[in-house]
Amino acid sequence: MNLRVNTPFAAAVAIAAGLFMLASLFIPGLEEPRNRVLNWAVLLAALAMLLGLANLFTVHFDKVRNKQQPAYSAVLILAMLIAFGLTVWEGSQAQLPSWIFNNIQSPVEASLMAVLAISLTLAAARLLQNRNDLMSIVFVMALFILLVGSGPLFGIEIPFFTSVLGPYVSQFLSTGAMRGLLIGVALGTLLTGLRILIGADRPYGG
Amino acid sequence: MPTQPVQDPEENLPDWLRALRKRQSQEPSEGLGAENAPSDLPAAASEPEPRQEPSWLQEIRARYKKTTGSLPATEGTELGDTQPHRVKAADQAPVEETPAAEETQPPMEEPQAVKETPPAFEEEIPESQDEESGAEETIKPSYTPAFTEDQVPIDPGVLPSWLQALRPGGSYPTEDARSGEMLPGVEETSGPLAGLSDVLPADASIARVEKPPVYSARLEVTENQGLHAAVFIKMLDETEPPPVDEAHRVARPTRVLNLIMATVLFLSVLFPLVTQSQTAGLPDPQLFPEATNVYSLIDGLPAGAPVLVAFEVQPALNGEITPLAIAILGHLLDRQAQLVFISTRPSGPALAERMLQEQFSAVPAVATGAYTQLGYLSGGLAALRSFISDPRGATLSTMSAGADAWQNSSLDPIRGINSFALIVVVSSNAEDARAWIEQGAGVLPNGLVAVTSAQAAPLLRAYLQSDPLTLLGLVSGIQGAALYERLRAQDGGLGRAYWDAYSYGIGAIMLLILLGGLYGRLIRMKPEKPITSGAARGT
Repeated sequence: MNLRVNTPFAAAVAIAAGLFMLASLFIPGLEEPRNRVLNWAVLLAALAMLLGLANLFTVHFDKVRNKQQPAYSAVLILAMLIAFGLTVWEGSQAQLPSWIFNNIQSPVEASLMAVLAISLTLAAARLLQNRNDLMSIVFVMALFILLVGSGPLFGIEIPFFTSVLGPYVSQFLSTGAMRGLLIGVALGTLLTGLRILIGADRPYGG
Repeated sequence: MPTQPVQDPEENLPDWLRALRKRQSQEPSEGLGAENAPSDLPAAASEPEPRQEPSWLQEIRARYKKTTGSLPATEGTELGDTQPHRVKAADQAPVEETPAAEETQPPMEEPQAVKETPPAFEEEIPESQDEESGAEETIKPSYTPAFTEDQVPIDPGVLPSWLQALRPGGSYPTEDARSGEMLPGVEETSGPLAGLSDVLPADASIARVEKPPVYSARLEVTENQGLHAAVFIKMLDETEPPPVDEAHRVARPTRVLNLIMATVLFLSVLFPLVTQSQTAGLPDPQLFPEATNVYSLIDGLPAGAPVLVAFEVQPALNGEITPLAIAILGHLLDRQAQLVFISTRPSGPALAERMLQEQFSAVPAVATGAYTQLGYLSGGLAALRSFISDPRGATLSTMSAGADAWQNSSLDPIRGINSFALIVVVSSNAEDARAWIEQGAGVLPNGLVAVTSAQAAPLLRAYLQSDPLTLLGLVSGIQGAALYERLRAQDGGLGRAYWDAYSYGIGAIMLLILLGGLYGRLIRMKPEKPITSGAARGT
């Protein structure tokens, strides 16, 4: 059943909600209805997560039925059902769900991060071999300064780097760059909000 | 074309060439027709001497003379195109010749050489050729033609069955009056329609029914070209194709390099941990005033002050966050702060609970459960905004389990976000900390402090100098943990234990990058070797 709303009604609701949230920040006395609307959004987000879970189950169930790498999909479905069922049944702070999280999920993610560290080291070591231009040299030089300035190497501190050059790069140069980045992000967010408020962008359809 | 009595040129020809020309002159050309015969042949070549006729031909000629009493007329092949003649009688005309065609046919001239043609043909010699007639009369065919019309034992106008079978079917156009205009007086000299005039000529490519010529595949090359070709073939034989599996050749050293790097990094980090080395100097607090601010804020909290800890940590970066979070939470617990945990990440509450139980189970506040877990706040930025606006009205995951965290009597004094004495955001990435800073900027007059991983520090550092102040302090990474433990004069902390491993690991990474960069430069500076056959084969 397709319940897609493709009428101006959706746009009107979205624009009205946005204008109301914006006005509630400036007009006193609107905090209570604003918080109520925000709680609706939180419930909708939780339902959307449940829908995502159902969609994931459907996709991998079809893969198992069509025998498209069914072993991986079967493991995923089994793990998902066990974790979901135990958490719903016992609660997220219970012993068994905590054991699953602490002994399966957390080590797996940490291992992936360790592999990422090695891969990044390898990429940095091979950078000048694969791409030998000015920006690569600048990148390697900045990396060199930051790493040396972040602490002693093999227990030996290099004074100029750790006390002068490293802090200068990390606290002044990078901060300036990040401020520019943040201003760009803020302007982009403002423009996106305005486009939705005037109906130029309609990601919800309609 | 009249032939001139000339000296016989075949006297000087070799025997084989003479015999070949004799055969060519005796056998009517197949497919090409008389009009396509080579015109550059000497006239004498097409008229072989009677004395040179073979015996079998002379016998045939003798029999023919006995039966007919006269030699047949030639088909005009010797006369060629310059002396056309036409078929006079209608009964000799091709089948289906229309009366209109007869009327439109121009009078045709009979060459001198066909005076001895059968009675079926009527001589009409043009005046322009009267002078040449004397010479023409001397020309007599010295061979027996394969086909003459006068000896054909078929009735005029009646085609034999085999010829009718060969004739084109009804799909072909019949003769009409235009043929006479288009091809005046042309008589077919070969093929099944030989002897018929006013025949529409077929297209050359269609009429050619002989087998396609077979050309020699051998190249005519000079000796020098042959030598060059031999050298080129030799070069091609010596040059082997490029390696078949280039990706495999590239992947093998990369895999080895990965293993070497992983081993070096693993050993460099493991060695200080195993030996419990503490040789590396701790960071200087003078260089990190933002960390000192965090210490000062926490150290100035009164006992029992409510502190909100937003634990936005991913499991992947929990190893980096753990020593720093332990240092901060330990300081808070030492100050007897009332901790309230919340997270906008599903894994946050579980990681916070694990840390408390593993590291601070001996602390009375943790052992007695004098802290509060608000749980997971779903909904992203909207939920965060809702929580900051009204913490008690926000929907929390603990409510789904039937437990309302706000029913705890210790939280009664908290009516809004400003009721917290301090907000500590423990975040593994910059975006989560940024969301807390930006959403709470207008609501939190006291600001908040951030405890983050090293990767989030550059982005958050920009908020340290904002006006109004939104971020009061920042501690990040293993370096921040070691620094904070130094500020607290804490010995045996996890930050200090990791600091040497961190130092050795950074040193190993620096070494690998330098060596890799030098290796890359050397590879680029190395001149390419000339390709030899052995190198090309990979031997």
